[in-house]
Amino acid sequence: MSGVTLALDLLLGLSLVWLAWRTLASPTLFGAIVLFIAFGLLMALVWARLDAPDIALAEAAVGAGLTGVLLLAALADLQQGDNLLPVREPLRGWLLQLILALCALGLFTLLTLALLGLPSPPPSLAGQVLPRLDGAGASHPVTAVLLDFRAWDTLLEIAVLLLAVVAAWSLGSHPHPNPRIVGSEVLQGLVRVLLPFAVLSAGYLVWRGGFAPGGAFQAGTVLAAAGILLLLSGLGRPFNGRHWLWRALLASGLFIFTGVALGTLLLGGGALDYPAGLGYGLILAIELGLTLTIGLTFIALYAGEQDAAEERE
Amino acid sequence: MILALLATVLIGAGLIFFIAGTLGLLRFPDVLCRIHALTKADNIGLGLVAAGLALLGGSWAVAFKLLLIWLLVMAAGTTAAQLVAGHSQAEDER
Amino acid sequence: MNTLLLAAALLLLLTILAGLWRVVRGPTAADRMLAAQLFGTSGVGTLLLLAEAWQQPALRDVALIFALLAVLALVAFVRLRHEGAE
Repeated sequence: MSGVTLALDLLLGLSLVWLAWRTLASPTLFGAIVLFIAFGLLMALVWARLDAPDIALAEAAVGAGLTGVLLLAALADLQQGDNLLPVREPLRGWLLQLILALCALGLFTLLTLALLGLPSPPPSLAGQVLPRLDGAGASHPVTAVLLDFRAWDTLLEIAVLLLAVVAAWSLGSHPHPNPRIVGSEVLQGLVRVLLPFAVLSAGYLVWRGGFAPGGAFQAGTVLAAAGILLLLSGLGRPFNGRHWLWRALLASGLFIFTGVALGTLLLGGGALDYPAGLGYGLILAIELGLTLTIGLTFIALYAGEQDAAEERE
Repeated sequence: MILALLATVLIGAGLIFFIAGTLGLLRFPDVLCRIHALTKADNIGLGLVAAGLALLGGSWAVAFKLLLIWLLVMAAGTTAAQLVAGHSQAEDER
Repeated sequence: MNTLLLAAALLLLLTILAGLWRVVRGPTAADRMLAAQLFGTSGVGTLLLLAEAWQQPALRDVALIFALLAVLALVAFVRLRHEGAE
C-alpha cells in the first residue's frame, strides 16, 4: 500500500468519525441535517474505496440525495404551525457522560477483538456464488444474489416498503412548497433540462444491473429524485394518493414479483426458481416493476397524504 | 506520453481552481461573495479535471460520459447559486 | 500516473473537509447549504479521479448520480424553508 493510499484511507476514516460526532453534537437540527448529507457523501466515497460500487451507488442516491430531502421536509413540517420544535440540549452530568464513554470504549474493544479473531482469509460466500453465475439470470453477482439466489429476501423488502408508505400516509400531510419564493423560473428551467437525463439514467442503471453494478434500487431512487424535483419546482402537481391508478402503480413491483413467484410455483419448480433460459427476462421484468415501485414509494414518503391536506385547508 | 503529460497539466490546473474556490468559500466576507467564488471556480476546475481524465480514459465513450457529467454539474451548480443567492437576499430584506 | 491521480483525489478530499468548516461555522443557513453543494462538485471530481486510478468504471456511474442528485437537497432547502427558521 502506497503512502498516498494510506493517507487517503486515514483521512476518509477519521473525517467520517468526526462528521458523525459533529452531526450528533450539532446545536440546531438544520445544522445536523446538512452535516448528515455531507456524511452520506463521504460514506459513498468510503464504499467506493472498499471496492463496493453497488453500495456506493445506493449510498450516493439515498444517503447523499434523498434522505436529505426527506429530513428537510420533516424539519419544515416541525417548524410549521403549533408543532413545538424539540430543543436539543447537550448531555448533562459528568457521570452520564463517563458511563457513555465507557460503554463506547467497551463496544470498540469488543469489535476490535472480533475483527482480530477472524480467520484468514475471512469467511465468504463468494466461493459458492461465483461458480453458479452461469445458470443465473444475471451475470453480475450482486444482482444474481438479490434477484435469483435470494429473491425471497428482496420480495419481502418490497413488501416492507409498501408498509412504510401506509405508515407515512397514516401520519398525515406534508406542507406544500412555499410559492412566493424567488427564482422559481430558473429552477423550472433546470428541472426541464434534468428530467430527461434522470429518466434516461434510471433506465441505464436498470440495464447495467444485469451485468455490472447498478439495479432497481439505484434506478428507483433517481426516478424518485426526478419526481420530487417536479413537485418542488411547481411543475408537477401533487397527485391524489387515493386514486386507484396511483395505488396500483405503487404496488406494481410487488404484484409482478408475487406473480412470478406464483407462476414458477405452478410450473412445478420452487417459488422464484426461474425456468432455464427465462431467468434474464423474468429478472428484467421484476427489476422494472421494482424501479417503479421504489421510485413512487420515495415520492409518496416525501409527499405524505395529500388528500388530508386538502381536507384541512 | 504526450497525452499523459497534457492530462497531468489539465488535472493540475483543475485542482488549482478547486483550491481557489475553497479558499474563497472560507475567506470571503459574505454569502454572495462566497457563492461567486465557489460556484464558478469549482465548475471550471471540474471541467479541467474531466478533460484530463478524458485523455487518459482511452475511449470516446468514457470521454462522452465525463462531458455529460460535467454539463450536468454545471447546470445544477449555476441554478443552485442562483437559488441560494435569491434566498439569502429575500432573507435579508425581511 | 496512478499515484498522481490518487494524490489529486486526496487534495480534492481535503477541499471537501475544508468546506466542512463552513458547514459547522455558518453563519447563515445559506452558507451551510452552499458548502454542501461544494461537496457535490468536489465529490464528483474525487470519484472520477478514483475511477481512473483504480480502473473501476462503476465509480463514474456513482459520479453521475452525484451530479444528478446533488442539487436536490439544495432545492428542497430553498423551497421548504419557513420564516424565522434557525
